[in-house]
Amino acid sequence: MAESHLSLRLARTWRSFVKPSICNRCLQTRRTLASQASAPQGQRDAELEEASSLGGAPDAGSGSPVRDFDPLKVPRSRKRQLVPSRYQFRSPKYYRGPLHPHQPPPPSDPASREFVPGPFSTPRLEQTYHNIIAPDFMTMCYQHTPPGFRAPQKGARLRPWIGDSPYFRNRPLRGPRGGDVLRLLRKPITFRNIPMIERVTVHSFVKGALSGGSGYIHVAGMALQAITNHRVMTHEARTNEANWGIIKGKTVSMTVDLKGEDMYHFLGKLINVVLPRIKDWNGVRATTGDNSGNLTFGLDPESVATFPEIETNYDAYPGKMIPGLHITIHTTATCDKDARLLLQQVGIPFYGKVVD
Amino acid sequence: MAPRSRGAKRIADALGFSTPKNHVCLSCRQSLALTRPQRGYASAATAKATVEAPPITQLSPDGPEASPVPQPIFTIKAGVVLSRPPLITPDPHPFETAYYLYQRRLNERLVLPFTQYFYYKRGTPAFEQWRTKRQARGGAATRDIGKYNAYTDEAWNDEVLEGDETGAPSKIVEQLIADEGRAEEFTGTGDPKFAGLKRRTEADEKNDQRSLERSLSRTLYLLVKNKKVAGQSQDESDFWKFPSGTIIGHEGLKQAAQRILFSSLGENMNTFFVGNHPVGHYVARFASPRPGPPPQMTTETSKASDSALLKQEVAQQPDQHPSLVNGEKTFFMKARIMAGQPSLAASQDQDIEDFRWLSKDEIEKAVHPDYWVKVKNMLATQ
Repeated sequence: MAESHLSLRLARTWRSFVKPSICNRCLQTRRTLASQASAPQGQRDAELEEASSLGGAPDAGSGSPVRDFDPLKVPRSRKRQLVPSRYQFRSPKYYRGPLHPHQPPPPSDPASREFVPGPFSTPRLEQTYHNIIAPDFMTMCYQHTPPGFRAPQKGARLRPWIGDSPYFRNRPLRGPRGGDVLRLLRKPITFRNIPMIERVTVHSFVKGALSGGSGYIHVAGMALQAITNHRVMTHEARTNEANWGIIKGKTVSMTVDLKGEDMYHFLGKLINVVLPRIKDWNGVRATTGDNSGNLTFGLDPESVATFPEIETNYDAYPGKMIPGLHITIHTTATCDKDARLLLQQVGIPFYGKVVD
Repeated sequence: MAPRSRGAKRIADALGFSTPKNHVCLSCRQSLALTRPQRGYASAATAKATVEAPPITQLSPDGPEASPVPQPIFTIKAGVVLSRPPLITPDPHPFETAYYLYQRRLNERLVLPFTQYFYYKRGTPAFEQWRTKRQARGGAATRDIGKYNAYTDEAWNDEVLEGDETGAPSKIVEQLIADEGRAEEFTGTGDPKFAGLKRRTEADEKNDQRSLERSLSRTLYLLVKNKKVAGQSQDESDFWKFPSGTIIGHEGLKQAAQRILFSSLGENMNTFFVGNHPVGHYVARFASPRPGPPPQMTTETSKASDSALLKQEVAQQPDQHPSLVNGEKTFFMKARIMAGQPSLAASQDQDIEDFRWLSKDEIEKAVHPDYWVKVKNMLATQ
């Protein structure tokens, strides 16, 4: 044991004689300019192709086989149709377990029944987030601590039951003082946890449907589908509410949950087209939020009608039937302050008293 | 590690107790100490018993007893990384273009058909126009997938061939504008094919690096060229740097950065400083000590420390406080430009000769390699 320690130490000393200036650990983890430059010249990976297939074939002239290739030539010249049972793959309709010989392809395969195509574009807002907003957010929220800093330890948020009572044994821990709600913790912002917009829920409570028949529901569904590019999910009333005229089991509202590309396109239209055209609009009230980084605001029917998809085809929607909306923006921020900062950078203004 | 123990380490280093051959840098040593493997219970117990240095819970400047060893003296400077964010989206990679077109064509095969009677009433001129245009597209409802009909027997043939420009964004924009047929209303002096919209401007063609209209899809950073200092051998690449200047008195970094930017390049700029913290720093050590600016002095006894000397002391013993500095440290503040341009005519700083707006790649070529290594990580790739 001791001998190996000695030899290790000797070896380490010898190594440091050879390369005295750089720390060994750094040598492993950091790549220097010199090592970067020397690495590709040393040996080439045999499996990597030299040229990109996207750049075009080297001899792709007008008379080359690459340019003149016609994929329809052979199928059109065929006298008889190919046997569908042999040449057309059909994914099994039901999954019959892992031991069944006929397994469905994964959902990412276009031949799968569950395949959903997309994405179709890189939204401008998404690129702006990654190039401009996220680095700026990190700069604004940076908090400096000297090297060796250790934050003072805080007590556990859930408290044990202390006492002689036999009922305290194995009892679930008590909630924090001053209320039973465990708020989300705000961790210091680093490059790993910069808040971003996670999803957007568009919700519409169709008041007209309570008395005016199902037409309102259909129109609201079409309008929401047009502006969000998604099918809506309808919701029925769960209880009778005589004051509001709500009857149990009747469809009263609809929501759309947006993520990814559709979400960014929707927000882009909202921020660049719809919100700037609202007359006498101060912005979103700053008191909005659920204390965990999800902010909601509403749009009236006149503003919803200014979405480009509805505006170009305004006549197709019966008058006074376009619904108002509630838009909830779910962010990965753990407090409303961060979420507000993010949305301000994205381009949504806030007004009024700020409550944190 | 507490500042005090750091001072002790410095002393040990200076006296030669720690061998430079077994050198492990400070940051590594800290992370090693954090990730030290679990030891036996006995050694853990003894480790518990020894008194640990108290953790730092707030910033505390080194006291007067911090270290007797002469520390190198640095001039503290504030720099400004003034940038113009990208104005347009970047050109997509050819693979991106091909992938998106393929996905759009797959989508056309899988989605419910376009409900044309909801958007175009039968028998109206708009309906007739829509029908003729749709026929010209080979029956496709969407306008961004080229000539492709998903409802025919040959719908499987959904891949574009080599050299086909169907999915290229410029092609799609061109087709949309031609489809609308109102390009002349919006085209000023530009190309009517794109309704006057441009991705490359005149400044791009001329490579006018003083213009903010250049490289619209990249972040541009302001670099200034300093004049040659007499008596120093300097390379061409030594001159190009971010605007920077020495901090005066008790001003903060952001305040100093604002003052330096406006005094050196004129006030004809609408800028916004992002945050109050620096985004990077650059340390330059001179080959031999140079005369620097006079040391920071104060008349208040309460504020006196190593960094801020008492005026009375300096007056009594002028030879004890020579104003020689061993180097300079520049802390960079991040800023964005909204409008305006720097002007050399309005500059109060005589050291600046020229300025340029450069993207990250161009900065690499313009500045000194040592400077580039320190500066590159605070610049955006796009």
